[in-house]
Amino acid sequence: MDRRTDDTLNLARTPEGEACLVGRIANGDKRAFEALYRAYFPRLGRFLQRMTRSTQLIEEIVNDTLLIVWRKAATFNGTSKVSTWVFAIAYRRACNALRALDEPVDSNNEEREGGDSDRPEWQFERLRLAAAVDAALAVLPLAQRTAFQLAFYHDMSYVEIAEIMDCPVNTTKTRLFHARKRLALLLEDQLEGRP
Amino acid sequence: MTDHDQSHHEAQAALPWLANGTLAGAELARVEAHVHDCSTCRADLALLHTVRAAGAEPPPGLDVDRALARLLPQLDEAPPAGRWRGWGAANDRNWLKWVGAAQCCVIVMLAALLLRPMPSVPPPLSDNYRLLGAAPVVQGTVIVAFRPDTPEREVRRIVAASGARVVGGPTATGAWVLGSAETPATVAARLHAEPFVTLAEPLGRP
Repeated sequence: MDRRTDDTLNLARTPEGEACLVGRIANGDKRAFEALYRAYFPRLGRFLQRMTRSTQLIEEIVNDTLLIVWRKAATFNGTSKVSTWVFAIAYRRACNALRALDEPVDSNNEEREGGDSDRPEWQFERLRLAAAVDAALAVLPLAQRTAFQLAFYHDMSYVEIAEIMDCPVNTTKTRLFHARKRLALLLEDQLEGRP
Repeated sequence: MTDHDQSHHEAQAALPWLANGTLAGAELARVEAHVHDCSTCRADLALLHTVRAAGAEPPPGLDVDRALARLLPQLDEAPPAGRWRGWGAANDRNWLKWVGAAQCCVIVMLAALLLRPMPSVPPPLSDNYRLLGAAPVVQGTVIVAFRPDTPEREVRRIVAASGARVVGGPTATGAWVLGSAETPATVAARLHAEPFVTLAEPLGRP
């Protein structure tokens, strides 16, 4: 990988760099697009795995989302962060895809639990809890689950989440409040004895 | 609702963002102060940290290279929409900033024109300068009176034939004031030759 490629990949590490990449994408720069793609693929993957268990569908939604970014890069005007813009596109694409497929939404915790028995105890405990969280999240309404994961796994502010989900800030706060109260109840047994 | 209830309500609504580090400013200070003194909020925050740590696993089975390889051929089929289209957007800073700058320049230029000191004495008008509606330069005037039975058509003919035009009148005695680029004496002489004219006398300059 040459120095230019390294520099381009480094741009995807800051909000300002991401905005710069989008500007280059608008001019048809595929190297900039690949850098943004590689930065967002895991983030969008984590975001979407709470909405569907189909790996193929997740990849399709990620690709649809980033194809829109490629096509519409010139319309990005910098009034919001690139991440807010991209996640809003992904959220809409995912909602549309799930509606079209009538996809049942739940977690794949059973698949994950099966292969972890040979791991060290601490890691098993962590994965067990992760699976429990996944299972608990899966029973939340989609809007609460989406707001929850944007806050906890993508470190977004309530303003950004409200923008992504196209709803008032107070609605976002209310959704998170109900989501975490419900999760606390669902995870009560799993968290007993933990500090 | 007491102050404690109010701050508890605010902290409960803001805990997720205290946990992810995106609270800021006065709100952060208020929520942190409340959580410091509230065991319920501290317990809730601890639970959120646990859930946050547990859920950070990347999704299994996703392959970025495989997905990117599928997408790359589509990029050529759908190139980015031209930048010029974005320039048309009402909220596009690219063209708005230039329009704003041009507008400022025009305003400054107009202000400079308005504030420019005006000459205290207006420049003399050239003898050759005349407004579109202005009468020809009048050398002198002639007062003329007609017989009472003179038809209006005849009055017009006599005035035109004299080389003058009516610039005033009728006066209290029924006379008219004629002006002409020719000398008043010349005009008066022509008028005297008309049988309907009872009076024709130059006024002012001879």
